[in-house]
Amino acid sequence: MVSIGAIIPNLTIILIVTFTLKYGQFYGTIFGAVTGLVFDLISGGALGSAMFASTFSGFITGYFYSENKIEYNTETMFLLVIVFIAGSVNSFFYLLLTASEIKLTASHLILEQGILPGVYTSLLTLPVVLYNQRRKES
Amino acid sequence: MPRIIRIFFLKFKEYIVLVFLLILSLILITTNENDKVKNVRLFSLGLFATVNSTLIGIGTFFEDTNYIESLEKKNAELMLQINQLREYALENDELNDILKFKSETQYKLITAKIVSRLVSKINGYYIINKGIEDSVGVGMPVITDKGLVGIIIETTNNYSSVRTFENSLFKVAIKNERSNVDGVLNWNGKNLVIKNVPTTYDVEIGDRIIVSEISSILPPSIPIGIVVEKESTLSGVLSNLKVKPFAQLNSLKNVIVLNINRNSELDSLTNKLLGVEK
Repeated sequence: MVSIGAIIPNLTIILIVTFTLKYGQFYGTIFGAVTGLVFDLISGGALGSAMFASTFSGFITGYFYSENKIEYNTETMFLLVIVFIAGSVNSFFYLLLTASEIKLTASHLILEQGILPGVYTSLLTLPVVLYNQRRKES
Repeated sequence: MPRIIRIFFLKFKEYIVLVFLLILSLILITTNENDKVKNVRLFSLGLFATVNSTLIGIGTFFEDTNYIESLEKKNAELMLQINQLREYALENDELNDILKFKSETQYKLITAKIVSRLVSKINGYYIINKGIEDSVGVGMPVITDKGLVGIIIETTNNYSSVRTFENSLFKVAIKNERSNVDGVLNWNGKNLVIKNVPTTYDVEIGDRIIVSEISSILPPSIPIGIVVEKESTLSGVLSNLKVKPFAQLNSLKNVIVLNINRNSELDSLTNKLLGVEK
């Protein structure tokens, strides 16, 4: 995936958010944990770090779940907001757990490793939303 | 009583699952060095790399990969030779005589394809398609024709995991090729940096940074990068140097593993000095 400077999007978040918004907080949290664990296993990184971050992201996303609002949440621009929040939380915790050797400042941790990757990931969700909207119109 | 537990679970199941999974993931983090966990990781790494390399193979079916690999290998050989010659030019005749044995040293180069990469800017890892069966071992340096890329940290029969220099755990003893100033290079999440170099030391912008002879892991003289920024610390006594690497990790497709034979005598002496008996 293309990085902009040190900012990298997290595509697994889009998957976790979409799943959680469709099936609820309980299953979303479990799905986040499984996705994170698989990511840890195949990435070569520290086992458990992505699992922790993804579990938390699935749980946070669960607060936006509503049986009556599944379509609204997954097919409107509101999805970008949710992906942004979940993505920021994910990046923040992942960095916190994996970058033990790096001196972290609060601004670096929150802005560069939390918010900016969240913005980037949410922008990548835009084509998904537009596709869903177009499909609905036709 | 069971009814109360059931109601409690149903009411707070999301929180219970969250706490359980977070504790489980924290336990996993602490057991990363466990042999059983390592085996599971190596198995999944091998499985994923096999699937991934098959998919890549389909995508590059019409490419003459052998030809590309042989050219890249040749480039890496030339890079190592050029760097050695460059170093000779900077040293005096006496030192050249002492270090003459170095010119006779031939590293075996193993070309490898990157089958997977973790794109994190904090913890960069690659998986390459060469493993124990290709004589790749833990601790071997990974390079390109430009310079150092990383180090092998795990191997399976056919695949290996590489810790790239864009990794917070990556540290290497380096020296300034021009002035021979030593230091330790590491990744701060954004840049390669050499921290706490006394300001009185002879370091200038544009100096080439190479692996030092005192590195116990990597062979000396592998080029790493160039000094692009010098920043004094608050005290003004020390400075941090920002290094721009020669190898660009984002665009890499193939890499080369330097099959170095560890010097057992040197290792033994080092161990004795450190008080470690093997």
